[in-house]
Amino acid sequence: MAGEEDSEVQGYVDGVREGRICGWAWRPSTPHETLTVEVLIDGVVAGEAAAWLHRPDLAVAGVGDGRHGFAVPVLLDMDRLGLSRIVVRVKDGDPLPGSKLLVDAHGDVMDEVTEPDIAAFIESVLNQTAAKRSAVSAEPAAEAQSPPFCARQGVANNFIVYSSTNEKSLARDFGGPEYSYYFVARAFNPLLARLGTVHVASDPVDEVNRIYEQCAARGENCLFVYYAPPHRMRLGSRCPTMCVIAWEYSNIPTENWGDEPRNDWRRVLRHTAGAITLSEYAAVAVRQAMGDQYPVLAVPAPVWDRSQTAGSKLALRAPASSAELALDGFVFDSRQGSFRMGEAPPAPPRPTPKGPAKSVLASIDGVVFTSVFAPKDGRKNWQDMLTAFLSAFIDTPDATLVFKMIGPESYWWWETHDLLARMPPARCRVVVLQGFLPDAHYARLVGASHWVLNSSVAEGLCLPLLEFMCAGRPVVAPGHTAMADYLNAENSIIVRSDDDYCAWPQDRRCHFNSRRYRIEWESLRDSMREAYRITKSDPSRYEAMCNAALRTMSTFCNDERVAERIASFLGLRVAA
Amino acid sequence: MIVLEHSTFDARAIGGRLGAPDYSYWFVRKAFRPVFERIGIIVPITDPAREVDRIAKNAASYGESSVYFSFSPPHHTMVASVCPTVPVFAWEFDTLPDEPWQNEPRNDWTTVLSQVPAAITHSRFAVQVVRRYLGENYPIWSIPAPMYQSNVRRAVSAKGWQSPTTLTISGFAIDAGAVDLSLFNVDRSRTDGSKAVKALNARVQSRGNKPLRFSLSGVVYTAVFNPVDQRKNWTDLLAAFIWAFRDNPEASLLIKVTHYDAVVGVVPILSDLSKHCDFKCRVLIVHGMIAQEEYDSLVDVTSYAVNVSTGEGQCLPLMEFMSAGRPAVTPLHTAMLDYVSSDNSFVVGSTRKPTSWPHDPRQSISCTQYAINFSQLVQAYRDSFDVAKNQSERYTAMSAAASAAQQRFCSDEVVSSRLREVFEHLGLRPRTNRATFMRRVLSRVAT
Repeated sequence: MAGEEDSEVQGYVDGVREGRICGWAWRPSTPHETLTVEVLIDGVVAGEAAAWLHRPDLAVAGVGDGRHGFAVPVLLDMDRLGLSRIVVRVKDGDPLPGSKLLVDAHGDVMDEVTEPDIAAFIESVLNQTAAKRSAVSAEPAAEAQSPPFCARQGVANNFIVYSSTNEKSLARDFGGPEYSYYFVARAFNPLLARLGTVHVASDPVDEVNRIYEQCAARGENCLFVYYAPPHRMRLGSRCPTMCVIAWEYSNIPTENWGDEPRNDWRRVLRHTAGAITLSEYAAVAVRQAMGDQYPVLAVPAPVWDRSQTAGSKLALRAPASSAELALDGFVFDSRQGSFRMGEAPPAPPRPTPKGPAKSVLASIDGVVFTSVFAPKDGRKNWQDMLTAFLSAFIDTPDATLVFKMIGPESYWWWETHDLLARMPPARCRVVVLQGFLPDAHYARLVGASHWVLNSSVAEGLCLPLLEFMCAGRPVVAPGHTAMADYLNAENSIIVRSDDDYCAWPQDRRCHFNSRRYRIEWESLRDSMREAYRITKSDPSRYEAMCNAALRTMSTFCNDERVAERIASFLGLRVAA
Repeated sequence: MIVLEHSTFDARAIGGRLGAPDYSYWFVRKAFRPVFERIGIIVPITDPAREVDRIAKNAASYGESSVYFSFSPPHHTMVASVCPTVPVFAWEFDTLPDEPWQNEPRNDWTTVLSQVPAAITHSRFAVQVVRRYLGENYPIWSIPAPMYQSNVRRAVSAKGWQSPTTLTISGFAIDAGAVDLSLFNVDRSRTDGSKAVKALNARVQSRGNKPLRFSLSGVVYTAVFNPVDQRKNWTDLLAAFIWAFRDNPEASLLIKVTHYDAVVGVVPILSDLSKHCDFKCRVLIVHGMIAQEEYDSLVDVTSYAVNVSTGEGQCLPLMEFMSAGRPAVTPLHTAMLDYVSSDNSFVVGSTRKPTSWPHDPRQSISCTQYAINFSQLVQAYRDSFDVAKNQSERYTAMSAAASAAQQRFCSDEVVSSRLREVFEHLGLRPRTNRATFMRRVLSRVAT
């Protein structure tokens, strides 16, 4: 006796061929039995036949010896029948799979398709007619361009600044795709203040016009500096506009989709006097789309003189010592949890409602690798960082990974528990800092770290890397996109990365028009191991790398140099 | 000598099961069958727990020895008590499941493997992994499915550059570059694409003597895979092809989908293709069981076989096409280490990344698989195109080397001689077929 399942009939109705209903049927438990199938048209038995025809394809497929095909001749009076419903079954049994067919007057079996575009698709496949639509949007016609910014010498300079992300929207979208514009604006505005008067606008059109008219009336230079992705820009002011773009992909959007012409960035940029990008990589992307005539400057956010940590090497901490820091939020510590597969993780600690944010202490020790990022941003690829770290230091209790998270905990809490439970138990330590870290304590975190980590698939700049490097901390990161501007073998252990394809993040169609990078996990893991080895066993090399990081930053992103570059780009002179 | 053999999908209609878990074991079993036939009498088993020991006991009472070949992963292998059990399984990961879960001790493969007198897998890679857990002398043989003899006959048609050839497909096929795929875009309702494929499938099944015809020419890359199987990494296969040949109408990718359900098997590919927008290269998708002569014509029109898997137990399609003299575009890891070289293939770099054993419902991250180097894959497509178009001597040499490598790897002789080693190890002597005797043995079992 075979199992119960094998006593079931198997088969398939292939379709109608030359007036015969074709298919196959057999019972695997009795492979030598010949089954009889019958055909019902619109509920009436119209014919029957034995399933005994030899079909080589069935033999190849292991349907017994292949003698299980059938072809039941049925008289289909097409003129009279029109659309008929055909059912094929083993005599007095259940219908065979694929047997509920609709036959139209031409003898073709079809499912009921009423939607015209689906029917058109089927027709174009069957009749092999080309019906391809073009997805490429035409080059936008030449449109009125923004007035160029021609700075006159010897008069006052004015900068109207506006960021699409401000304190208010930041609270809503902390860690969202455009939150970095806030930080970029915060870094650049003081620098612009060295070149002229900064006016903060709360509206990109009317208020900008008002200020512009006033400046123009005084005969002064005036430039609108607009921090936003072009598809969100509201252009319309009369003031010459310079956009500041954070971008990390190989090309800028040059297609239309939806009903939003601004999705083609070229349409927007044509109305501006030029663009400032935060990396050479982004500048090349803009230049390729806009042509060499369009003014583009690649300049980093000036971090060197801007934060408590920056500008001089923070004292190094011996791995055996520990550092304390306080934050308003909570601390996740792998030493204090148990992680077992199949066990539901506990809920994240909830902040006390309405009360003042609770300050908690974190104690950090060992060789510390730190990464600061928004887990909501999929480009950060933090899961690779975590698994590579756990794998690299499975037997190393004094290796510590610190994640300082930006944004809500729901983006990392569950997944971190899940990954820790599913990875083999490791002796190293994972600490996640969730919440606000006051500047002084952020500086302590930087000081307590030996390495700063990044495993992104693309970066527009990566402010945290700059902050840590400005305090003399070397890097473990891939050397692509913006990071190519400041990472090198002296200040970093470069993680190997490879080309990858992707869609522009705002493209809802998800068309693969752009490229990013994929991180080689093995290289990420090995680079962390090498970093650990250098820290513990090669102090002179580690020291040299710290100094190299500091040296790179001192020329890369100090106020003076960035201001000079912006001034020369705008044709201005830096005030003494 | 009685050879009892079983796989999860045995006498079932594989056409209705293509792409289901463990379906490929059926193909391995079928491939081994001619070799087994020369060694003993094959008795297919449908229910190992009920049948194996009973038949073996009966045979023994007539002085006939039996061996049970279980074409299943060890956790699905029943260990017989009357006759030796030999699990035949594919493995492509660097660790072996060595802990039980869900109260099934057999999920710890070392438990099963230490209970059997011998085991068969299909690559040296898998042999090394098993021996790391069960000892350097553990009796396991790497025996691939004997794919060479049945496919080498097509090697005569191997050429890099295809003059225009009409391909006739009586089943489901789509020239994806020539149709509007917007039905499959992510911004459309998911059911539109499924509905279209379902209706299209019904239509082509009914077309009778109106098969679809496609003209192919230039350089044709063929990939045979089940898109549900994540290990096949087919999105890279497709994306790199389009990156390499976006503006090149002389390059074609022929995808033979091995999944029984057209919607499950084809919609994801069309959906992915719809995101790639404009490309001048051709992508042809063929789905379902097609007649042998049509399958042969796919092989004939093929310049290269493509595989970008993250791991392979042996890779039957690659063995099949390389036996037929088609050089490959493939990474060099796991089973491919046994037969791929730069003489017969365009080798794509790969690096390891963590993953789970495929049958582990807990998804513990306990092993590694191989990630493809995407830019090298793009380059390999371009290099191989150039060889096919402009370096026919090099193509011919690679074609011969591909066939020769498979002959060394999986010819009947290699397979039978290794199987003989297994039988010798088990102390079994292959005997001639004694049909009358067998009928008596089996008739007793049946009653």
